[in-house]
Amino acid sequence: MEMNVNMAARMNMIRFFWHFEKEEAWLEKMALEGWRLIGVSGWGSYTFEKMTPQPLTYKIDFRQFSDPKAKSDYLALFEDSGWRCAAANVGGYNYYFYTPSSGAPKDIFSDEDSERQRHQRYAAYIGSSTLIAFLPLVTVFISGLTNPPEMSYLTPGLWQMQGWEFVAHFLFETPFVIMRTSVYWLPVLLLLAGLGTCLYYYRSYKNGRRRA
Amino acid sequence: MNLNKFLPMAETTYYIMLSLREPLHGYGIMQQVKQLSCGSVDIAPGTLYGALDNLKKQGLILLVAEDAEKRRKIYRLSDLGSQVLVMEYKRMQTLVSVSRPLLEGESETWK
Repeated sequence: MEMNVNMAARMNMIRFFWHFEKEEAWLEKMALEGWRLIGVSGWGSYTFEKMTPQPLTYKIDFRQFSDPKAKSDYLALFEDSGWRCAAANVGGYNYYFYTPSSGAPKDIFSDEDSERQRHQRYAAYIGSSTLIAFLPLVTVFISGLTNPPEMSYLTPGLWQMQGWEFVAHFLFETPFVIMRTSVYWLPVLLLLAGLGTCLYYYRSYKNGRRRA
Repeated sequence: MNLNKFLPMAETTYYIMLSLREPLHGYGIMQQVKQLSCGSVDIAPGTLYGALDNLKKQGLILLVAEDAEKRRKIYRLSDLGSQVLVMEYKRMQTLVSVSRPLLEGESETWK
């Protein structure tokens, strides 16, 4: 977590959340401490502005819009019903709404199905963007532009060495081999992480509401 | 087209379609539904937006205009939507008329 406060009473924080509910709860805690959300980036960075401490209810929706008119219609609907959009992140399509907390608990969803569909939209977004990001890479692998044997151990005669000589050379070169072969395993690791995240949100869509 | 695939409708969907016999924008629908249901159905904006999106994709409602500020879209029922709404009404009416003599006689339940 990084923190820096500048003269205009603004603050940036970096946080990562798996659950929309936990992220909302954190923003509500920040409001009670006198910090109002004014901006988010797609990479876990939040910008706050100082305000009078007050109870706010935050709700996050995930939407992608094909045209700007659909987006303005969407935002107008939320504003008309008493929600303000604090921020929308550039790359991630998350919309952060807030409203003063008073009386009955407020929500931007009035049934469980529509709340769960938020996870479905998120899973579809993560899944499709992961696959699109990996299409060029798959093409490179298939076309054989890279040569795996050249990336492994290069010490001449390494496999004929005996005893400590072998161990020393082997251990010395291993970090370099790991770096060279990262061309292969790093994308695979990222692909698995992307698909794992997609599956995680798809499961929360299937399994229903998960309260933190 | 077999219209039965649209039935039965969720309560929220029915109320939305019932209110879209007149052209309305999103918030207008929320207010109209609340009034028609005597306050018992209060649709939240995220839920309404998703429901309108679905109805539009199914061709049951149409985008007819934009408001003066050009921010809000105004919808109303399509011809298909009107047919489906009436079918759902008749379906429920049949259920009610079948049930009435059976259930209304059991006076204890009705007190």
